[in-house]
Amino acid sequence: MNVGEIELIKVRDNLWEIPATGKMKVPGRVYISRDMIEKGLKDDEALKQVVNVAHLPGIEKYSLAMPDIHWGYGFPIGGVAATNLDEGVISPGGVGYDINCGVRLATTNIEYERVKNRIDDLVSKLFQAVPTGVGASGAIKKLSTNDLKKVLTKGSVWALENDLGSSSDIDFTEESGTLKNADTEVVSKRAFERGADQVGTLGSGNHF
Amino acid sequence: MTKSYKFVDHTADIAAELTGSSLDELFVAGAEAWFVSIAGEIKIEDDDMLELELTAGSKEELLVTFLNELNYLLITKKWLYSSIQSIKIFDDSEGCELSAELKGTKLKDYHQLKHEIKSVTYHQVEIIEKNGDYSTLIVFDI
Repeated sequence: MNVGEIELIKVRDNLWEIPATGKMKVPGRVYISRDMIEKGLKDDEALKQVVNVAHLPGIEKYSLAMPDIHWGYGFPIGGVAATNLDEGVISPGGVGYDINCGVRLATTNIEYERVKNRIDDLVSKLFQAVPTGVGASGAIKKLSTNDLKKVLTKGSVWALENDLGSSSDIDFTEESGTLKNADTEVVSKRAFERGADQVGTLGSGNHF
Repeated sequence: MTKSYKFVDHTADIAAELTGSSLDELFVAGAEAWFVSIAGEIKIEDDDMLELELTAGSKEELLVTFLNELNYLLITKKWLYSSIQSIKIFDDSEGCELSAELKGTKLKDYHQLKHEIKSVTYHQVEIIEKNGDYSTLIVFDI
């Protein structure tokens, strides 16, 4: 099928390929249903952005897009790409400015039938318990710059050491909650100032 | 003064077209667009004044830096900009400077803000002068 000038070839259900044409270095691949294409992508520039990303020097295999694809900055929102470590570019703009905006999934022993009529109450309680919202702050005591540096270098392990998490949490966190070689010396004073109050909050929470 | 901002469609963030019949007015339009983006149409006090001086290598960098400064003041100093008392932009071959007096207030619990702007972006910022009027697009990442 075609969306504007862009050809989409069905690979299998919910996976479509944009053939590599012109100066594209790799094909594009979009994980999306036909229904979502017809209802959501017809007038969207997002597929052009998938094509644009396929031009990146050193891109490997495919310019990918996930089902939440929509118009972004350079990459589409939902775009994914890998570039060769030695010869490829680094594209910080690929994720916009929300680097490390993450998602956590937790299970409980609460059965749906017991709570289905109290979902609003449940959500209210969650918002009371989890600091979030514009200006969210004060989730934990204000940290010194040295403590903030430990948060940045140790990540989730810092939380564990300060009784703010459990060891099983670490098992379900990307990179076990710590990125090796994190260098706090390259973090500006302003970045520390901006982040200090929001440690332990969900931030404004608009992504949820 | 002739200045305006108009929000335009953006699937993920907030985008506005700014216009002004001088660079000063363009920057004021940007500040107004920033305020409405984070606070909507609420009225706030302007019982405090703050002086600001910034430098940058270009008009575009200065505009983004200026608006990000308003953001920085809000997030880190809990100081909410409300209006501009005075502003002067100097733009020559050696760079750009801004000198401004901002009116605003300390953030209170009853100030209900709509959005947190994570950053004012450089995306598609290009200040164009045509027949004495200035314009640019500005995108706020939320």
